[in-house]
Amino acid sequence: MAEGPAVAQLAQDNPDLNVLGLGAQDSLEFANDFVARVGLADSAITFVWDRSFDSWRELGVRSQPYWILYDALGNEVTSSPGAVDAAAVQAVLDAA
Amino acid sequence: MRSPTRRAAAAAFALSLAATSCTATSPDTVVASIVGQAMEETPETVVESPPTTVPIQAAPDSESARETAKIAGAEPVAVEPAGSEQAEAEPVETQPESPAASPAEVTIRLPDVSVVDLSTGEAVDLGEFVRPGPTLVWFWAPH
Repeated sequence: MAEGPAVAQLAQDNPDLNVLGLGAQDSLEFANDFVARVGLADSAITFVWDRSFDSWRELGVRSQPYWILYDALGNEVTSSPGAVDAAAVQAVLDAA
Repeated sequence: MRSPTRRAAAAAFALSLAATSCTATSPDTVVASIVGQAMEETPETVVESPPTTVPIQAAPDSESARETAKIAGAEPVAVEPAGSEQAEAEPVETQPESPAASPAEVTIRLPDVSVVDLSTGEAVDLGEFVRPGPTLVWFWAPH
């Protein structure tokens, strides 16, 4: 979650980019506390939490953090485990 | 113009007279040889008729060939329009499909899973968070 501020900045710099923070594991209470603690509750990121872990499983996510970038047509542009590479995402957005 | 047969007969008659008067050879033999030559020449004149006969005989063959061609040609003619109709029908069917698959309608597909919207605390289907434009999905865990 250390990359949280960088992702929030990315969302703020790109209003047309839909940033969806899809959390899982632990508990709902823990998830709410965590978002409030890192100061991202009021960010441009949409935070949701999946109790079942099914969304991660169906998307093939086996570790966290992880990120997937889709273009405007719904095509997966790139995906990678680890922290969000804000520079790489920005480059894709600038090239579009 | 006298026919070759009549010429041969006249020649045979003249020769038979000469042979009878000048030699002791039997007239029957001479006449027979002359007639034989005449008979041999006759086929040469008769040979000319087969060429005229051949085309006549060939005509029915060509007619039958034409009839055969017509019969054989009827089947492809019947098939070709059917094939051309199918060929024309296929593009007609595909053309309406192209506009229907508009890229603007394509969106990302997120799993049909109920999640909690942390801003409201309500359970919402994950698909409802799909928005137009590019999307970054960030997978995180609280710990």
